[in-house]
Amino acid sequence: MANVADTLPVAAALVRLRESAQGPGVFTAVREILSDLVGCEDFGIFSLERRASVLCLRQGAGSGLARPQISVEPGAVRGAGAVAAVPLRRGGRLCGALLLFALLPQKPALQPADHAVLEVVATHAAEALLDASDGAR
Amino acid sequence: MTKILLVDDSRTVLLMEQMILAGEPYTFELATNGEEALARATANPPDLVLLDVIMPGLDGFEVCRRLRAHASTRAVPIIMVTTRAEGENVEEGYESGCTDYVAKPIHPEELLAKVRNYAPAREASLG
Repeated sequence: MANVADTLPVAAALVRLRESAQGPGVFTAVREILSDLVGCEDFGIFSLERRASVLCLRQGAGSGLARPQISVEPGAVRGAGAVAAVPLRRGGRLCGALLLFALLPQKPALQPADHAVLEVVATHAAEALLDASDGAR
Repeated sequence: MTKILLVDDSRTVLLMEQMILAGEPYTFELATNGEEALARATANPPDLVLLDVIMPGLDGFEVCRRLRAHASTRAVPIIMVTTRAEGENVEEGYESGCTDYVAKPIHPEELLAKVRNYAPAREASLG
């Protein structure tokens, strides 16, 4: 059974994303959630370009901005230094990924509660993140 | 009731702090930048401040120094809440006058224990 304390970040993430709705504020909400609830300030939101078999950076923060494209060949995402990769889907179809590249020094590893927060982000913000302009970088 | 001033430019942190402390006999005031925090704290001093460090405008260190310099807030406990929880930043925090530190991401049990320690619950007056 989940510790009640472990459910609070998920609840906070849900409320925050609902507040930001689908507008341009969703990237700010996701950046806050990743930094303040998960402990990651280096991430990228990538769209999947199937013809070229690459992930293309749409938005990001920190060192996540240093990788404009990542191959989707086996092992490439891990080779790019991602510590976590969360699939982003639109209508059930894989259309991108949220990649985390580094955690804060005081955060040695992701915990199950962190993965639950990342799932909330993927479920509730995937479309808005992928549709948002690059201006949010 | 015990009043806590929550200061952070992240709406997510303000939500999280209120969720962690919900059910405790506290009331909250919110501020999203240093200037607003100073104005609220000096106008009506809280019993405890949870203070973000990295904010646009006045950062948490400067807010802390100014609260310590003001007669009405000199003795108010201040817990800094920050992603920058390494040595130098912690030192600067204590030098600026903070009472304690909590690192982000916030661990609910840790924050709750520290808040209970520095801001003992005071029941509402029965008049």
